[in-house]
Amino acid sequence: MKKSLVTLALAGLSILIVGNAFAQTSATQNVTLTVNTVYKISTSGNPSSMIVTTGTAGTDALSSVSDNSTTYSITQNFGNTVKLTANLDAALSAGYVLQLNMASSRGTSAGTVDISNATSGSAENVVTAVNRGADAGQMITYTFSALASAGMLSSTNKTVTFTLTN
Amino acid sequence: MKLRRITGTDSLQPPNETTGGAMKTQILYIARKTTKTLVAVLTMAAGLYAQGSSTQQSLILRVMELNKIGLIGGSLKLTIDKLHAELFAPAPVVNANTTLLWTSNGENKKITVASNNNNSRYALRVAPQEMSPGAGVAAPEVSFSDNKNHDFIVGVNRSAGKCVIKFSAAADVAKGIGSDTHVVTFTITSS
Repeated sequence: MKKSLVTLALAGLSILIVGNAFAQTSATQNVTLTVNTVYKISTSGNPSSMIVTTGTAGTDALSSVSDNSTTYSITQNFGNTVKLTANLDAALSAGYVLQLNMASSRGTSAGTVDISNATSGSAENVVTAVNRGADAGQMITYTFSALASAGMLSSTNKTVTFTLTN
Repeated sequence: MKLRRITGTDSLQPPNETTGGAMKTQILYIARKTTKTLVAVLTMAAGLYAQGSSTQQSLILRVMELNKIGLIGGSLKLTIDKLHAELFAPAPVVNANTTLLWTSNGENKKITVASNNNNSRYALRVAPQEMSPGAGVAAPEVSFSDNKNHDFIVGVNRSAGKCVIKFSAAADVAKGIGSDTHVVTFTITSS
């Protein structure tokens, strides 16, 4: 009688174990993650008008004017060799000089760069070796100067294009 | 031997023939395939290197008309205290220690000179010397007899220049001793 009970108990336990084993199931999914190359650049607006109004008697170079009221921000995930270039829509006439200085905390600023003759085919590097990541609110400084011998310049609109590229 | 032009619908499989015509076709086939490969490579390269993002700023640049004039050298004193050896008259004195400087980005400008003393006892004359080349044309010497503006330098066009101002003072014996004071004003203005 005792032996029969033990046998019965073992049989019941086996059924439970087998039942549990057949209750387990699973499913799999393949998830593909992709991050494309991202380049983003923006500026905070347009600088104020730059008007040369004075000079020094006896000196051809008139007093230059500067503007540092705007900033730029960039984001890129391409690599550490990205650069920022700048160019004008058309070159300035001889005797007028427009210089640009772009601050940078993730790259190497080229310092003050003359962009007077930089057009779409000859953009100037203004920041190089930009590291992957974001750089926000960096100062843009323009300096405009003129020679007296170049004469007056009526109000002239120039477009500066900044390009973030590899 | 007849050459056949490969068209866009031709197969890109290499021909099997080995005749002269077939060889030309083979060359065309290779050229076509090479071109396609190049286009593909260039497209990939463009994809790699032309990536970027741009933004623009608009600038307004302007240079106003400006005319600047200045002097190096302060007040000066001319003292007639010698006699001319042959004429037995007071010898004129000259002072050329003052420099006039100017800058103008305008055209057809001139520099005039005037004295506030229109009733001086002794003669005072003024003339430009050692003009900067191309910065203007020296006008004839001015002898002050009124307080009007007289041309000193003309033909100033978009230039910066300088000259030495030569002051000459002369007196007749009949004028006796005494002194005159002149405030001499140089003005850059339109011609």
